[in-house]
Amino acid sequence: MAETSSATSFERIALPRVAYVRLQDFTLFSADRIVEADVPGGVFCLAGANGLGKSTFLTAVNYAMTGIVPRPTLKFDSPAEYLKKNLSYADDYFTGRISEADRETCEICVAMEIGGAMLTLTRSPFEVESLRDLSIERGGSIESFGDEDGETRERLFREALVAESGLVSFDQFVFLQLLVLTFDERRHLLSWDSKVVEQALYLLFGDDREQAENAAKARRLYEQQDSLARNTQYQVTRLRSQLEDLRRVVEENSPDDDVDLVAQFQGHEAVRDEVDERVKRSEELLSDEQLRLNDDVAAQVELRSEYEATFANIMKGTHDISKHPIVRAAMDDRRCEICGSTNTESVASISHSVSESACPLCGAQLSAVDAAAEAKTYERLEQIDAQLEALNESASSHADAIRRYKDELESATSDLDLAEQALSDFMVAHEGHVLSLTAEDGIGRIAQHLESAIQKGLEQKEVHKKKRDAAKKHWAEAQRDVAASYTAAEDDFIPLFQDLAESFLGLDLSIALEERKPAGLQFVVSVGSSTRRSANDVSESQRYFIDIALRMALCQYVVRPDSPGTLLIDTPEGSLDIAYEVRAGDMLGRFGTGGRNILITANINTSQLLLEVARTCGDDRMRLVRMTEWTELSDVQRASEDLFDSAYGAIEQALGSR
Amino acid sequence: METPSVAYFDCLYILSALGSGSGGTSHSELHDLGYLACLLSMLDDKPAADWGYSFSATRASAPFGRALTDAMETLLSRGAISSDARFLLVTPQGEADLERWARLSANARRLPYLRGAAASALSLTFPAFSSGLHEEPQLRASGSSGGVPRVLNEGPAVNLLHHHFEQLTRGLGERRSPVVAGTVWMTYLTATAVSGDD
Amino acid sequence: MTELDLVKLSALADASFVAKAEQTYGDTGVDRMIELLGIVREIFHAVPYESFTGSVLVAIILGEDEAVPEFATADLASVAELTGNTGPDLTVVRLPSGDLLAHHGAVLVEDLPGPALVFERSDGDEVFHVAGEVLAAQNPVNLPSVFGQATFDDLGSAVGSYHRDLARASGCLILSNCWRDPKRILFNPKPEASMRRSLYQFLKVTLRHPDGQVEVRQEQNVDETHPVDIKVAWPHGRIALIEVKWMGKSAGKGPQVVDHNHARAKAGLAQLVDYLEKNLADVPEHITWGYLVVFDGRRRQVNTETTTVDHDAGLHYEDDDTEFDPMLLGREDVAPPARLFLRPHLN
Repeated sequence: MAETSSATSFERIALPRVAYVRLQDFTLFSADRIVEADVPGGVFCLAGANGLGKSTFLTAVNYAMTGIVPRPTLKFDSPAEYLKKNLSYADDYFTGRISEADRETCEICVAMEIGGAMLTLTRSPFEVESLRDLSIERGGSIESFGDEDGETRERLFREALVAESGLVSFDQFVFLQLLVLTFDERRHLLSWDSKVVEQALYLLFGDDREQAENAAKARRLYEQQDSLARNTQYQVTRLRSQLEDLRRVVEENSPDDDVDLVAQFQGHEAVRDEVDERVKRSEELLSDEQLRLNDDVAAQVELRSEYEATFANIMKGTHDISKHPIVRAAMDDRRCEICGSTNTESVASISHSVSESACPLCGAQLSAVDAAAEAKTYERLEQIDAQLEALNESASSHADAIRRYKDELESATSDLDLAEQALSDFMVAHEGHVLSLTAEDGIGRIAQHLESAIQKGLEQKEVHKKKRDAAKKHWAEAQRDVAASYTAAEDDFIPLFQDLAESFLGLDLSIALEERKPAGLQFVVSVGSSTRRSANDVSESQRYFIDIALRMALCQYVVRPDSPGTLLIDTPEGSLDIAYEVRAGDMLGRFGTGGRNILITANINTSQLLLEVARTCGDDRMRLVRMTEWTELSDVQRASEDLFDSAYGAIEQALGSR
Repeated sequence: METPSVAYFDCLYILSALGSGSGGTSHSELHDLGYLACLLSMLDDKPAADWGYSFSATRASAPFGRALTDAMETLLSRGAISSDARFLLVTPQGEADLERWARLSANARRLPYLRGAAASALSLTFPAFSSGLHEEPQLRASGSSGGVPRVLNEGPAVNLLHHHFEQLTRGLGERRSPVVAGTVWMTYLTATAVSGDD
Repeated sequence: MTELDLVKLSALADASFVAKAEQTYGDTGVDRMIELLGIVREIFHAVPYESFTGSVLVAIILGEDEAVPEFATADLASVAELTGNTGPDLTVVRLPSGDLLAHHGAVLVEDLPGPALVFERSDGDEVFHVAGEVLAAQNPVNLPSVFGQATFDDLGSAVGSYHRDLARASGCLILSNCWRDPKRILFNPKPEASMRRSLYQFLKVTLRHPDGQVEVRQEQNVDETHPVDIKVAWPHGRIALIEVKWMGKSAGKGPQVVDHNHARAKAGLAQLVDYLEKNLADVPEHITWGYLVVFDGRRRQVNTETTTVDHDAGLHYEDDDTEFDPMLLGREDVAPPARLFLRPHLN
């Protein structure tokens, strides 16, 4: 697989490649107190049955590198928060997996190669932001930091890594390592999380990695302020309803006394939000469908001009010069139609040229009708015709869909107007009451207090909205910049993705960046001419591999080939068809043989995936580790050890066969 | 500009359908039928721009499809058509081309309209058919504008045509295939033309 | 804006043989109908319709089966093989294979093998048999044949054909209405309007030129200084101006009789020449000439009381040509006038 020779201006980054892993006293891996492995370049595959701790192994490696284990429920907002909020989770995660007895001694050591350095560190799963050991090897000399305290070692490690990587902060590395380079058991699709995509784009494609931080902050600020503004509005509404209640109490005997205004308000709001969702959904569907139609139309235009050119070719290729109107007239009238000469010699010269298949005007020798060539041209013409016909059908079905979505959008939009009107009517109706409470002193004061609180709330809301809008502006600018950078890079990046993904799916794939409001930037992958959002035509397992392809392509594009990092993939094969197992294996194998690294775990079974990776990589670019040897097997597992053996054997044979 | 492939097809289809029974097809009949076929496609809610080439009305000739004349010239030099006393006829080579081209879907899609035009012309004497066609609103308008050259199927005269189409559609009811519409419409207009109320 | 007669449109659709073919047999029906019309035209191109005194039946057999007709037939390589001497009746059948069979005799539609699209001409009527229905060809001008009508690029032949096929026996509705009596002895008053219209219609549907449309228009004949009745324009700028005159007697219900003779024809030609000279000398891009057509309904010794004429009285003037001023006839822009003698209905 060719590395991109892009001439883009941005600096590629370096990421750490896992070179060595040692786990000590990880209770799960009971066979040995110490489990260790050299991890050479290429594909490192940890194969074993379910329940042997494959995911734990990958999580531990990532933990060693980043210092965190991601909390499954935590959504990504910004790299800084992601790191901070996840720090405490490692304890929870490992507590269940490591017995109390091993708690003190248990540790993980990872050596990683980045840029010109080899960083070797040791961490305990239960010590936050602290390293038990760190050494840094550069240009043949090793520096150990045994004398420093754990926190300092952590800081030094982070600094060294950031310096080598070309990133701005350690957060950014953590983000890339855990959310872009790792496809873990949670199977979060990169392309589906707009915030992750956006951050990755800032980091990977942006002109300025500082901006990545700022953009994330701006986004975060926008969301916070937006949420605050809405909360304040809610508070104001509640206060208003209290005030309203108060007024009713005063007015007495109002039948609406017991009406819960907040509930009513929320009801209106819920209706509005629901309709709003409908509008957005229709807009998305419509835009998708329009894109598809545009695709078809563009393809049609191109094909049609080829069709016309091909047809014109047939018409051109078959000219009989004697049938040309001027020649024909000249022969009939015995007179040159061009100069008017009736001289016998002139006319004879015309007939002579014609009989010699030469042009009487310029003398060019004309070839006779080439029946074989014409038949071939016809064949091509019929092919184009069939393609055009297919495009026609597809375009007309898109046009139908567009009509349908337009209708739906129209009706949703008008429903939205109604819902918003209802909401605003409601608010006006409950605002407009004249305060008749001043007479009663005590209640009057309460009312005044409420009113002033409402006023304050409204002012507060405006402040939030202003801040929100300012943040939104920053965010939008950043989005615009990164979208521009990405677009500039598309020509190089998209082929990388297509190369990988198409080798897997065997279908035309393309990927486009889209701006969604208010969600932000998002990748949209299209299979054939249909965008992926109509995801039914691609199975879930296939989608995993398309997502992995996207991660691979991103790495190939932005990570320096001399320090390419390691992609961590946790048991990806799911329930692929056998045909796709081979293709997926081929895709992973090609990545591995292209100077890139994968640390992958897999079930040891009859899957063709590993066999194909092995066939593609061979001994020198793939290492297979029998995980069954690390741990005590269950009875059932032991009973089928022979099966495991033969499965391992087959893969090992494939490794050797290359 | 390159002659569009459909013009070659239309030209061959029309000459083949009209045959040799009246000595062949005249130049203006070729354009008349092409134009009527185009109108029938418009009656079938297809945009005029989709026809593939345009028609104009000039003092010398109306309707006139430049592409049809170009196609005719090329087909003559290809030997696919011949002319006998200046009337146009399809040669066996042309029949073979026609059969082949009819299988191409861009051409096949036009068949209903070409059929409609051919059936209309063959149901009447050719001059009668031409007279009828010239009662069609756009050609009538171009005639009454004193032969000022104009492009057909665009401009205000199209509104007249559409009004005409609405009535035609109402009169025909369910039977509004291009073939029925064409023959009935042309028969009707021919009767109008010869009634001489102009 | 011209309004269409919706009832008439609907009636035309009901009566359309093409519509019936499409409705019954779909696109194939239309394609076969187009072929049938082509073959019929070719037959009449090879053999004039007048030479068949009996019936002409042309059928395209539909369906897949190679049914063979039971009547005696001869293979025909092409319609062009038919020549003048074919006898009173002709039946031509095209089989699904494409083979063409000719039978020089009459055949009933029921005796054809399998379903067919059939054209039939008998007693001067031209009809189509489609799926059990008999539908007539549309013939707005009352031509003796829609599919056998020859077309002309020159006016002389067209007017000759008009006289021979239509006018001589007042075969069209318009002409038959310009007579005062069924025996065609006297004209109604002012018959020229009908004559002009009848000739106009015939020219409109029979004039044809390979290079373009032949435009035939009726001119508004306002006074004697503008004698032109019909204007014919060919491609390449050739224009003919036709002046229509009549000879014979016309009368209304009353006793008044208008009697026109040779003088009327001569005056007509003089007016025409006068007009050509005055109006057309300065239109060089057109080649314009004048053409006088005289409808001649003269009978010997008849008056408003006459109810029948015999051969001698009726045809007495049939060959009595007008002697025009040779100076006028010699002009390049004047065509030899045509006198169309309209025969009476003889006893």
